Amino acid sequence: MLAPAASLVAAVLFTGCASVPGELRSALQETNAAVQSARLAVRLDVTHRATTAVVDTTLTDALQEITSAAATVSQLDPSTSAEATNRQAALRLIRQATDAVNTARGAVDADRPKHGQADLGTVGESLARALARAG
Amino acid sequence: MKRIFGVALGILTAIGGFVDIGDLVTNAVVGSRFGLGLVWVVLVGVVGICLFAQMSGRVAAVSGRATFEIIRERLGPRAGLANLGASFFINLMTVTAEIGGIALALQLITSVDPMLWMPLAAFAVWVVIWRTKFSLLENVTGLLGLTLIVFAVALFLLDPNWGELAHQASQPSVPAGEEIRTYWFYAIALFGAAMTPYEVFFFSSGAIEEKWTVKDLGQSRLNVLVGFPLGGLLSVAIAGCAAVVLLPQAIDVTSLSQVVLPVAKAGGTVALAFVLIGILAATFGAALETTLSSGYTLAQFFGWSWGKFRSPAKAARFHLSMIICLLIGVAVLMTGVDPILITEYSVVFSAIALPLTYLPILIISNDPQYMGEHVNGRVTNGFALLYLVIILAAALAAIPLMIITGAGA
Repeated sequence: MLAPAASLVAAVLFTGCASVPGELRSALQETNAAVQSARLAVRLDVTHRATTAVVDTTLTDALQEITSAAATVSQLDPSTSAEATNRQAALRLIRQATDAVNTARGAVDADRPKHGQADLGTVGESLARALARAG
Repeated sequence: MKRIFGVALGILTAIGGFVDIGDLVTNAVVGSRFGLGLVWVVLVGVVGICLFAQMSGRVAAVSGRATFEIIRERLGPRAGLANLGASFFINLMTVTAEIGGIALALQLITSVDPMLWMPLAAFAVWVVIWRTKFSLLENVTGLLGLTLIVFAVALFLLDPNWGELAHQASQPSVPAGEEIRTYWFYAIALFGAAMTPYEVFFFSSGAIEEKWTVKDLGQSRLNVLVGFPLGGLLSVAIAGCAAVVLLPQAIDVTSLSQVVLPVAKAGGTVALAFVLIGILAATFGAALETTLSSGYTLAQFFGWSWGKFRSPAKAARFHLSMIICLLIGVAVLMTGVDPILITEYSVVFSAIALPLTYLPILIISNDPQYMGEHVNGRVTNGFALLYLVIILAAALAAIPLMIITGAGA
């Protein structure tokens, strides 16, 4: 009776405690998903295939997702200098993503959604490169 | 002619009423992460809910009594109370999720923050339950929910690689970047989304509300066996749209706004209008059903007067319990918790609690004292026992998988 329970606890301890690189990768994936959602929504606005309400809501949701990712990364405690460097790089990327989504929101509100596409594209590519490096 | 109309209406409302916020979110999440690799679970879930609904509807029509009235009598108050506790808790979570879903749908239509909509949504649900006839509230939301067929239309308009989709569905595998344990966690979540207990409480109590007898069993069987599978196809279409548009862009669904983007891409603002009406109708209809289910379970167990066929003054505790459930749901949502998160947990907990509602129905539907000659046949019992094993396995695996995967993170 105790052995299976102990195995379950060990599984939780060893698999539930994620590593810093793992957490960074998850946060970047969440940020990437949010940026890609924002890009898709702005594209739909540019091509008049979505309402302003839907686009605005998608951008708001994307911002919330990025904020959550930023909070996760901020709370990480790197144990090596390499992890600390990666953490700083991730935070920089997440800040760029936040700025890009905010720019897109402003552009959509001003009825000029095309002006929000460039920054989203740039940060999207940066995130893709970062995720490819993370493996 | 009237009969044909009645049958058609029943089937259509079964299709339109099949999808709720749990199905919308879970199918979209699964599509965006696993493609159509979990379609087999939708199939298993649909067969299961057909079986479950049929047994509970037959119990109500033949015995003239609803689920919890019989559960308490047949299993005894202690077992019945444990059953009630688990079922009511899951129901309350689902009410909360559906109210949140209504608010999110209204945000997509108006851009207004969902927290401003939540109290209004709950109030609207209460007003409709208080003032509207049972058949009207069931039929209107069910028919409006049919607009979700736009997901199937959108999937065709997106011109996907059908061969690839068929391959994903017929040869399920875990995509790169995902883990087998997360795959199985979402299999359980999808199963829970298809077989939420409130559907059965609502179905069997609805049979009493509409005064079903043995003569109505044929129509109810048709509604379930035609309507629910077609509703299941809607679920697959939701997953398909996410698989075609969101998965290639690595967009894991975490919000309702992402669920509608593929429809907008496929069909523009016209398709978007249909899907938003459909989501609003589906979540509102489900909120009505779950709220009523909360009232039904409590009232039937404690022996209070219940039912919309009675005036509120003659079923005061029934109506008061529903008001309290709505207030609790709104209070939870007003803490700022994400309705999508509540939805994701509610479907998993539905799977965990399923044995507690399924087993009593299985026992009673085999009991000639209640069912007379209408006990389960051999084929039905064969399937029913198979599903008992599946349900128990899902319930046992749900919590360990939830912990190990971080609720599918």
